[in-house]
Amino acid sequence: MDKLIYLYGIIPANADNAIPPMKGIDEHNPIFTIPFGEIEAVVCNLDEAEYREKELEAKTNNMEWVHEKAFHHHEALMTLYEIFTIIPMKFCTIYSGKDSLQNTIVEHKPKMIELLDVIAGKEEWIMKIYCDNSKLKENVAEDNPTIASKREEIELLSPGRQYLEKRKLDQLIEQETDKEKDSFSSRLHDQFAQFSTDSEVKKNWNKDVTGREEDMCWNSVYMLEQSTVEDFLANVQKAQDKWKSSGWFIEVTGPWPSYHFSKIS
Amino acid sequence: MIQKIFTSPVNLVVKIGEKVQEEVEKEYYDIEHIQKKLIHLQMMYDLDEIEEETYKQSEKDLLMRYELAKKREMEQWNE
Repeated sequence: MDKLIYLYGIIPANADNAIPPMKGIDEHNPIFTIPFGEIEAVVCNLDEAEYREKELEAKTNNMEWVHEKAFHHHEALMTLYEIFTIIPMKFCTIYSGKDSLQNTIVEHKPKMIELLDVIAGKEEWIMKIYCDNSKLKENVAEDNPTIASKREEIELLSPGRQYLEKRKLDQLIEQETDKEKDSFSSRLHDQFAQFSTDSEVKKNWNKDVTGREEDMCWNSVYMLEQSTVEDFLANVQKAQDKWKSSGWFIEVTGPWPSYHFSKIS
Repeated sequence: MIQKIFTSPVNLVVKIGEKVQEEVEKEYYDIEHIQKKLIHLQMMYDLDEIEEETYKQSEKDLLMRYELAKKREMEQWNE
């Protein structure tokens, strides 16, 4: 029976380096490579009875299984990334057999070769900006010119009108705080993006997910030449030192394989 | 000598068993390993590979492990 094939990623054909011995996603079959000329597919075999569509669907409904196996997938990719330029595949990329894998690779091979060339010598880094909302709101209430002029207007009104307008002012402070979050983060992003060959802005996570007191106000990813990583990180550190006391927190993680910049449509 | 030959496989099994347990514990309480898992978890969520519920539950478990590991580390320092 034709075994299923789990695809981790695509690497350039490389006679000098062998992939390190690793167990596959089923914790049994080894990870190995299948050559396709200038490129190699990093794969492991899977037992069809355990991983065919219906069984896989049941497994992916199991939260614990998903976490454990997704972690394995990324760990394996990180190990490979330390040695090779790699086009990482999405978690649970499974083919019905070698023929099916071959058809896909043959179809996309020129694009894959080109992509491997583009991402060689580059690193992906993720940046998340968080802010202390109440601190920022205080700063906006004190320093924002729109708020200041509104306050001056209110001073001239009758006490009754003042009460109503002050409530509106609170709403205005909220709006201006949101604007400030976006413009501050956007400015930093533009500054950091100058170091990158490509960047992408991602959706912010809500507090329910981050579990943090601070709001996430920016989430972006950068593709960096290895030679610019040091400068990029030094700039992030400089910005963090400068803005921390104002309630801004910048977090970067990396280097990652090219998860966001090697999509093959 | 003979006794040694006969007992060594049993001892070996015990030793391997202990070693496996040590490794499991080391991984379970290893702060660096937990931090790495937390960072990978973030990436999995960013890539939409896991759902919000999975993320939250896994993060909760890992943070609990992190706290335990920290506590254990402190205890070891105090010993």
